[in-house]
Amino acid sequence: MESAVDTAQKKNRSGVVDRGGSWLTPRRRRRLAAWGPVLTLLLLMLVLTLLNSKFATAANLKTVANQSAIPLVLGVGLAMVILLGAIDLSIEGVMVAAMFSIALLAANNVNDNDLGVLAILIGLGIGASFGLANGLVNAYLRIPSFMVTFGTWFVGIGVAQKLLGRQPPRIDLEARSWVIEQRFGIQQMFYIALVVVVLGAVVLRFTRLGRHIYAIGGNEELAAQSGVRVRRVKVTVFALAGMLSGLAGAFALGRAGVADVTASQGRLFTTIAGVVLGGTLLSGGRGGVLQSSVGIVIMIVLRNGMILAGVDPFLQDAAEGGIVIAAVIAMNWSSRAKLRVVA
Amino acid sequence: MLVLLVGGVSLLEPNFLNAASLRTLAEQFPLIFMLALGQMTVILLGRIDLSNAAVASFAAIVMAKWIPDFGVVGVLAVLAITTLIGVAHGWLHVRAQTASFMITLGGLGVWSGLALFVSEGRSFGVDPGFASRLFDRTFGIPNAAIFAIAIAAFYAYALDNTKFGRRLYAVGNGQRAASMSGVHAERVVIAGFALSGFFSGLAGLVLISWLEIASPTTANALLLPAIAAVILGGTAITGGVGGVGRTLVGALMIAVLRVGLDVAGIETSIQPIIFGILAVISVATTIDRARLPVIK
Repeated sequence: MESAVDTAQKKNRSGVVDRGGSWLTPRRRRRLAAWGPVLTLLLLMLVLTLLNSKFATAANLKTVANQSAIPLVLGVGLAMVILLGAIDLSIEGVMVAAMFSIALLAANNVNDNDLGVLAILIGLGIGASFGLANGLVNAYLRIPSFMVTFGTWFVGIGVAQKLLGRQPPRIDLEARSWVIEQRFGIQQMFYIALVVVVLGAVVLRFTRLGRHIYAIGGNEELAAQSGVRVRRVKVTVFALAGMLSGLAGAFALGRAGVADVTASQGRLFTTIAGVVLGGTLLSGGRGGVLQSSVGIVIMIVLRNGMILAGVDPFLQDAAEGGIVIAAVIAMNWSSRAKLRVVA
Repeated sequence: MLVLLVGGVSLLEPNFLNAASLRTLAEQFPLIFMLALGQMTVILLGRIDLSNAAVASFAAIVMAKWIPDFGVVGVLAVLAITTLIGVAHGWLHVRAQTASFMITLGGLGVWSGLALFVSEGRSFGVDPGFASRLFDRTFGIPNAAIFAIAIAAFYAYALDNTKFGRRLYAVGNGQRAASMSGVHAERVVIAGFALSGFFSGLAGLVLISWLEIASPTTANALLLPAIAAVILGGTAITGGVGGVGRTLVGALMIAVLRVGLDVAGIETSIQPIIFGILAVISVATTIDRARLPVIK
């Protein structure tokens, strides 16, 4: 009897038994978990600096910054979707669909269009409409988001393949300057990506939409009963994520100058792994855009390290798949429970 | 519906029912059927395997490398490997209680990356060597495909008549209830993924016996059609409902559709659009919403 009371007293709010004098008190553990991704990133950078003299050079760090722009933008959208407890697998498809649309509407070598900024806005709109479709089908037809977005992934690729005529459209230098023009040695799209990250963090922290996203991710039924318009929030979030995939498509087009159906290959893995590594749980409700952005940068640095080390590119892809599995399992480990059924 | 589809396609396009297109149909069908059977096993459990086409590509590449030296033994070894890959996916999924689509999405990356790595990104011809009997054709159909379909027939029988089959449906219908009535639900799930891996291996074998060429990416395009085949056949994505017969019909429908689209002159470029929408629509019509309190 007495021992049972003892154990009950030693349990803290999170239900973990406190082992008396252990250094890792639950509070410290939570704090460590919050700063874990940042520590991981610093550690990783330290290791790479020691292993390879080319890593910590200004030129290489600028490359890392340039490479981060697209994944960061994708990560903001995906983090919001994952905070809902849903997933968006359509990133790559939406990205190339927007990429081809913009390429054919901006000044290019295939047709006479030259819509300038309007082309980019239409591209973002196309991304947003893919997201809107994802959200509407998920929320109103009640189909799991992984299934819906898995379908739209291929729809997006089909659209891009259809738009690809005899030759891949190449856009004029002028139409891509907003992406690749350099400031302080780093391409402009990196700064745009930073703005998107900050905006995403502000929306999540300070707006009603943001609070509703966390509420739905935490407990959807409870949120609905408290008057959150669950469907509307879901549709909005998917549309935003789609728009950001469109922006990523615009960046990719600006970077390469030419639209390519395979331009988005592998983006999904980097983004999911990054978002989850940053501590945004797949089950929803916990995490955020800033944490996920740190996770994304970890993935980019890791990739950069593998490239510097001369790892075979195909093997790098395989490794990223493995990292996705490892990250998801590691972050989910503490929520395991007996008789819990996960499909 | 299958009859309607065949009728519709042959009305629209009278030359559909000629020898050439029937042969393409026969080529497409066993491959889709094998992938669909593996996928069906996992879907019956209420799970999904997004990696199975990539595993089939990987299997095709490794078989092509091993067949010239080891013949049939090489084929069996690869089938064992793909089964173990399935075991690994299933074990990670139940042990870590992590969504199956997430684990197998990672698997999709791992195995397609490794297929490209092992083949150095190239396709190469396969010399059947010792295994030539598997590649020999009866009525123009490779023996390997006939063999695979025989296994499917046996599998249909086994699902209806063995303890394992009943447990598979029990877990799919309600895992918690099944565990409480003494079924080792986690083992059944792992076995389901193992079967998915095994059928992916068979799909790889069928692929190379037909084309006599192994390419690291050929099978990947069949992931979505195979899922669509399972669901169109009437196996609900929520689990517990469906079977080999339905999947056979679904796989035939998809094969007819693919050949029909080609015959009707619809560009291959827009076929992903059709299959993407088709998969979503068929999930929408067959999903059992009462079983899912919250849809994420």
